[in-house]
Formats: sequence, C-alpha cells, structure tokens
Amino acid sequence: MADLFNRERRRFDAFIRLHRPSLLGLARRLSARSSLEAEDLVQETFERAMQEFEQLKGRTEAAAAAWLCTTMTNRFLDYCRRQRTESRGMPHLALVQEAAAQVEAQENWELVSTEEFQKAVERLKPHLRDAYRLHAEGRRYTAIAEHFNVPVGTVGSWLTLARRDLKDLLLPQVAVARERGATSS
Amino acid sequence: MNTPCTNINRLHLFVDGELSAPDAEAFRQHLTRCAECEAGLRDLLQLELLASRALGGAAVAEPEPDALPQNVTPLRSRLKRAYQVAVPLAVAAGLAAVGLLRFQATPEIPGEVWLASADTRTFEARLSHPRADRFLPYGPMRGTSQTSEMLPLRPLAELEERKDFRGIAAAYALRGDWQQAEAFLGREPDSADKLNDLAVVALSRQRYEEALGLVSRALALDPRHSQALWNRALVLRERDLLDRAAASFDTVASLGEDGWSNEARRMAAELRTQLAEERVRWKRQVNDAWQTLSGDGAWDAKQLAQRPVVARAALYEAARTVTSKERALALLPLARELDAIGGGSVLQDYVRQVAGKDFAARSPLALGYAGLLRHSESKKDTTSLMDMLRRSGERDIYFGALVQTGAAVTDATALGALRGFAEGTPDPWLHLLAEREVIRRELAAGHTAQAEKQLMDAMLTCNGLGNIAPCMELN
Repeated sequence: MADLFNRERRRFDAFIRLHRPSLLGLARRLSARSSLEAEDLVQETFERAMQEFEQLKGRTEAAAAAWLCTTMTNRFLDYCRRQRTESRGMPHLALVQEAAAQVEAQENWELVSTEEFQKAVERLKPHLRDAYRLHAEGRRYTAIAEHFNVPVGTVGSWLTLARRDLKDLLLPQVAVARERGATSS
Repeated sequence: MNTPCTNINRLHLFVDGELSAPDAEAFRQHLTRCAECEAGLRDLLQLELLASRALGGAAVAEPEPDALPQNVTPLRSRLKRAYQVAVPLAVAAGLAAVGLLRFQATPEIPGEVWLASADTRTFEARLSHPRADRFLPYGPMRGTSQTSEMLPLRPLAELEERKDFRGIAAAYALRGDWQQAEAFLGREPDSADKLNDLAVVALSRQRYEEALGLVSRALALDPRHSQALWNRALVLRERDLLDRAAASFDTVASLGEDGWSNEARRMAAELRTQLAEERVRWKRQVNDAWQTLSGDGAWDAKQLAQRPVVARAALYEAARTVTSKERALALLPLARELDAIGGGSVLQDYVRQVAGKDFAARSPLALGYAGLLRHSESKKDTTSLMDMLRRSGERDIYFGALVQTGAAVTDATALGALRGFAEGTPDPWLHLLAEREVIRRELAAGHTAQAEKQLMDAMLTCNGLGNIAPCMELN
C-alpha cells in the first residue's frame, strides 16, 4: 500500500512541476500591486488540486490546466471579495465559493491543446502576433511599444485585438469538437 | 449583454499588470460586483495560461521586479522568503512538504481536522480515532454536501509524519471522501481499530457483508470494542436484523460511555419497538387472511395475491388447518396466483398433496394446530399436541407447529425433523425458516458471530427471493 502512495505522490509532484511555472506567472500578474502573494495563490490552488487529484490525474494536460486556472481564479476572486468586505485577509481555502459562471470558460478552454494554440498564434496578423509573443515572454507594454516604436496605448489595443482573434480562431474549433453550434462570443 | 460594462477595457490592462496601484485596487473591487468582468477575467486567464504554456515558459516564471508590490508591505515577508526557498523541496516531497512549508515547530493538530466545531454527526457509524469519535447527535440532513468542509492539509501532513494514518483516514471519512479514507487505512498496521474503521468504509458503501466480517474480526481481537459493537449494530439493522442489532446496541450501552451509552439504549429500544410493531401487524394480517381462507365466505384469489407475502403465509396455515379434500382444493386458485409470482408450482403441488391426504386421520391434528394458531399468545401446554404431531405422518403440520412454538430451538430431535421436512420440499421459504431455527439454536448456545453471519446470508437469500417471503420473520 505504501508503494501506491509513493506512486501517487510522485505523480502529484510531476503534476506540480508541469503546471507550476505557468500558474505562478499568472498569479504574479494577478497579485501585482496588492497585498496578495502570488505563491500563496499558487500554493492554495495546488492544495485544492491534491484533494481532487483522483479526478485530475486522469484528465488531459489541457483540461488539468483549465481546472487549475479556474481554481486559482476562484481563489483570487475570493481574495477580492474579502478585500472589499474587510480590510485584512489572505485568501482562505474554506471561504471559497465556486461560481457557476466558471464552468463555461473552463469547458471552452480545456479542449485546446498547446499545439493548436501555437498554430492559432501563427495565423494572427504579423504585428499582433509579434506583440503577443513579446508579451507572452513577459515584456511590459512600454518595452513592446519601444520595440515597435508605437505609443503604449497602441500596444494595449493590439494585445486586446490579438486575444479576440485567438478566441475567434480557437473557440469555433472547440464548438465543432463538441458538435454544438458555435454560440460563444 | 445589453449594457456592456465600461470597465471591460481595463480588464486587459489589469491582467497585464499595467494599471497603477489605486486603479488596480479599484478594478479588483469592481470585479466582485460585475458579472461581465468576472466572466471576462475567467476567459482571459484561461487564454493567458494557455499562452504561457504554449509560448512562455521561463520568462513567465521569472518574477518581474516591478510586478511585486511596492507601496504595500507584504504581510508575511519573512515567512515568504523562507517559503520561496522551500518551494523546490516542496515540489519534490509532496504532501509532507506542503505541511512543512510553514510549520517549523511540532504543532498541536487542530480539532477542525475532525470537524470539531460540528454540532451533528453526518454519518451514523463510529470511527475509532478518539478525536473523531466525539458523541454528537446524528443529523443526516447535514451530510449531503460532501466537500463542503475543506480539509486543512498542513495538519494532515503533520499527522502523516507521525504515522497517524487512522487520524488522516478519519478526517477524510468525516468529509465523505471514503476512497482516501480507505487508502490511508491501508497504511495503518493491523488492529481492532483499523478493522473497525475499514468496516465504517464498507458500511458507507453499503457493502454490509464485508462490514460485518470486519467488525467481527475487530471484536474477536477486542470483544468490548465499543465502536465495532456500535457499527455491528448498524450493519445488522441495515439488513433488517433488528433483534440482533438491538442486542449489539445493548452491549454498547453497557459500556457506559458519555453520550454513546444513552444513544445506544435509545436505539435498542427504538429497534425493539419497531420490530414488535411489525410483528403484531404481520401476525394480524396473516391471521386475517387465514380466517378469510378458512371461513365460509367467498374470497377473491387475485385480490388476496395483491399482498403476496401475507397471502403466502396464510395459505400455508390454511392448508395445514383444512379438514376436507374439497376445502383443500378450494385453495388452488390462490396457490396458482402466488406460484405465478414466485415461479414454479410449489404451492399448487403442496395444496394437491394435502388434498390427497386421509382426512380422517389428519383432521384432529389440523384442528389442534388451528387451536394453536388462535391461541398463539397464550402459554398453553402444547406437549401432547406436539407429541401427537411428531408421531403422525402429517409432517407439514408438525413443521408449522415447531416454527410456531419455537420448540426446535431447545429440542435437537425436533430440529432434525424440521430441517428434514424443509429440505424435502422445493419451497425456498421453508428452507429459510428451517435455517432460522438452526440459527436461533446457535444464538441460544452463544455462537453469536457465526449466527449473525448466517442470518445475514439468510436475509440476503430471502431478499433475493423477491416479493414472496416475509424476510422480517427471520428476526
């Protein structure tokens, strides 16, 4: 029986190693300029994942990532709610309320693989594609604006457009994959 | 959406960390009130996580210096530094390390691990871990949401360090996570406590035979194991063996534990009342139906067969008490209806067999047996009747009288006759009744565990017969 547990533990370790870097990157952006600590957010997300690991381990990498994203978003929103009602507080596991609205976003994205995503990025207009890639590498708006020699505001609208186009490219595929009508916005 | 949120443009700036501190703060507050922005955030974060997985990698994982709070003092900055150092270790060491991140000293395990602040129990069974076995009133309605109480993982990791697997299993069990509970119990060395807790898992999954086996083994190791006695009562009750369940609760009550003792006494009394009421009702129903079949009035076989269990029991009594061939044959329509439900032609064959008897010899015995039925509550001396029946060839009536009086429990010869008759018929219910008398004899001899196992088997067999046998009579 102990072997079984060691195997489970190794599996979970591998799961953390796989997902932690990208999750932490996202957490840092969410917690910027707040008292929230990105590591806490990620830590609590993985604690939750450990409880659900029985289900998660059987799912695709994309589905697991989408689940982690939803869970972390929930924890973040919970933090925001607490900030609003109290002036103190860190996110707390017991206070999280799962929102019904999360289901749609998660279901849409858990069917998209990284390969499909890379292909979709290739199909963006060149300046949107390049700006989006620079941003994904962690560059700030000002750095991207310098690179292209455009105003900072332009970078913001390019990124917004790039994301809109990516959704338009990816989500119809999802809709087809689900054999449903493409009704997502 | 009819009126798009004017803040939605800020969503991208917020997620990209491009808002100033006050603007970011304002947006976070806005998020909690705006469903559109919340949905947008969920969607955008999914996209950005995907982008990071597909394109990013190292750059995203590296902290941006200006992404850290500058005008806010981190609440736990010292702890945080230690935490960041510990992260690679945590990744390597799993559950135990999750706990070690923030706990350096040996902490007292908080009661919340075992739902210390709960005011009701969510399941009836008793776990062996002392901190999970506080007496609380049972409140089944509260137990519907299995994951409503989050499991604090750090104390669990501490428990794992201490090899208190039963404690961890109990924490999972209290939250309805039976799979995890069972897995952690697997790491616990064998003991009556472990067997008891495994029985609770089996009970929760309605694996009653397995549960009974486990509590029996626990009780073999420790006959006064209170939780195992309690859980045995629950298993027996689930199989409708109310009498045995009450007996097990009695033993718990005698142990004098706070709360549990009174509860066990109450449960035992409740079960006995329930059983007594069902017996009275059952006897009355069978008696009424038997009177109908034996009386001179007309009766409708189809209508009687609508309560097949009662009608079957009444049919046996009627066949045992008829005094003429014609009256015996008059029972055939009902036998036919009931055979149609139970399958085969057991009852029709029996009725025809009775009709072929020599009623000159049988009638006095039939009348004597009818008297026994009518006065079943009075403690009249039945010795001479039983003696006559034993010596006569009317074995079906003798069988009925033995079951009625319970004489076979103390009389080995009578028990042999009873079994011999039952086994000579193809009627499964008669087999079960004979089995019941055998088990009663074992109980009387103190072979409780063996008898209870056989009762469970008999009850399973009985339930498997479908709607033809009064399984409650196995009590």
